This record gives sequence, structure tokens and C-alpha cells, in this order.
Amino acid sequence: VTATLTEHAEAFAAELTETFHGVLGDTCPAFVAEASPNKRRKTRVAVHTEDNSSVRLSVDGSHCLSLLVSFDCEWDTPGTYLAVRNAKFHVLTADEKGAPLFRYEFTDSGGRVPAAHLHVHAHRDEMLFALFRGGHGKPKVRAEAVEGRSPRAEPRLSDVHFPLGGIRMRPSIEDFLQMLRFEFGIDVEQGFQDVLNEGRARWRRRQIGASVRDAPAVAARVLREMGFEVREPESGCPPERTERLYQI
Amino acid sequence: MRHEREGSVVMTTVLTPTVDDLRRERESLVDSLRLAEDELRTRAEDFLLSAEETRVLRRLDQIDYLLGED
Repeated sequence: VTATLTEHAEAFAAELTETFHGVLGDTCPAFVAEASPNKRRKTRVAVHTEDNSSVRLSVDGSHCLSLLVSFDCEWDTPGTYLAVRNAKFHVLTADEKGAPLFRYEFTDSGGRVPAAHLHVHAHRDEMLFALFRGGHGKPKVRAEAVEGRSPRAEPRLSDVHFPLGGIRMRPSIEDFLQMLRFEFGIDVEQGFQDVLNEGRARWRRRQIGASVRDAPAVAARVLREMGFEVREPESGCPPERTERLYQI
Repeated sequence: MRHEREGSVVMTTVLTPTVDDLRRERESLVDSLRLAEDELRTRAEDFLLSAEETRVLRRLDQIDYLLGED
């Protein structure tokens, strides 16, 4: 029996709960899968924390940061695997007021911004100056904004999309949680590293599988080099999905 | 539903709202705001929302996504 998208999303939500509980403890909100009721949109599921609660991050028992995590999920193009279309990991101050400190985001829209990207909410004059220098593309738009010829008149460092490896090689939630532990010293459960390692390995195996589908001839060549016998299908080697390989 | 892995058991909730449920929730959330939704979104671009307003906006976006109205 083929699993439905909701069942895939449910399993994904369970993995997230297990990871977050294993790293941050059982007081962390569980993840739920929320299916679209729209018949034309049956292929959409939102995976988020219960009641969209933020995840409290503590240092020495004191709530010091808040984390917001959510995923929008759909089928992949062949309709075989669950694909995350949008993901947000936002780190905020404990009171959750004002701008986040930084945001990891992912959007698989094939648009004009890097699919996986980081926003840093900080300010430095030299950075702003650099963002105006270009004279074409985004710098030109920013300059026009300052002159009042475009509605957005306040260019900021946080508007910059720092690319993070594209669709396949983007960081996992485990990388993100580990960074929070290493850089901010957030409280973690005993055995958190094993939980992160297992989750990261699971993520990377999936991404390797997806990468093989993007470039099957490369996968076949590497396997042959390793001594495997690899036969092409009668219909020939599937073409590379160059749109995936090209996409920032 | 229960998911078991290596001895641990994780209970996962699956929410299956109807279109009416989501529309009603959306209406209720918008009514609870002291600002018009457009104004809320404009202020959100500049990160001028309270924690509660941010939560409401996030939920509105989720509802729109599930309704296919994003």
C-alpha cells in the first residue's frame, strides 16, 4: 500500500519530535502534521509545533532564546517522496519581540533567491554602503528606493540572502541545533550528540538519494568505479535534472 | 498515531481541518487583531510586530498555504 502524503508528513513530524526531545528535552513542543482540506491541494501538509508554539532555548536553566520552526510539505515531482517546499528556522530573543537574531530559510520555488539561505539581523555601515555600490541588479533597486522611486526605502543587511548549499546540500535541522549548542551553549539532554548524528545521517542519506536522481549518470559512474555492475535501463540513462543542478 | 523507533515511541498528532474550520479560524484571527491585515503585513516587513502578532501572522500564512491561497 502506498503511503499518503499525510502519512509521510506524520512520520516526518515524529522524527522532528524525536530529535527535538532527544536534544532539548521532553518539555519541547511536539511536532504535528496538518493536512490541507482543499481537494485541489490534497498534496499539501504543514508540519509545525503544537499550537505553533516557539521552542524555548535555555542556558543554565534560564530561557535565553526562542526558536520558531515550520515546514510546508508537498509531493516531489514524480509524486514518490515527501518534499519540503518551504522551511523556516528563526532564532529570536526570549521575549520574541522585534526582529529575529537570524533566520535560516528554505524555499523550493525556483525563484530569484537562493533556495536555502541565511538572513542575519545586524547592522554595519560598511555593509550598507557595499549593498549600494553595484549600480545594477539589487544595488540599483536599493538606490532607487532611497531616492523614493521604489516603495522600500530602508535597505538592510537582513535583506541579504546568504546562500547555503542549494536544494540538496543545505544544512539540516540537526546542523542548526548543533550550531545553537556550540555557539550559544544552549542546554541539551545527555546523549544529544548521538541524536544529532543519527538524524543528520538520515537526512544526508535522503539527500544523497535525491542527488542521484538529479545526476544518475554520475551515480552510475561512481558505483562502477567502486566495482558495482550497473546496467542502464532499456530506455537509456535518465537525463540530468539540470534545473536542480543549476539552481542556487 | 504512534511511531516506534529503536525502542522509543513518539506520538504524533495529525490535524485534518475542513475548509470551513480554516476559514473560521482565519476570520477569528483577523478579528482579534487591532490592525488591518495589510497593515500587519507591512509592519511585519520591518519586524515591528509583537510576539502575539507574529504568531497570528504565521498562522494566517499557514492557513493560506493549506487553503492554496498563498
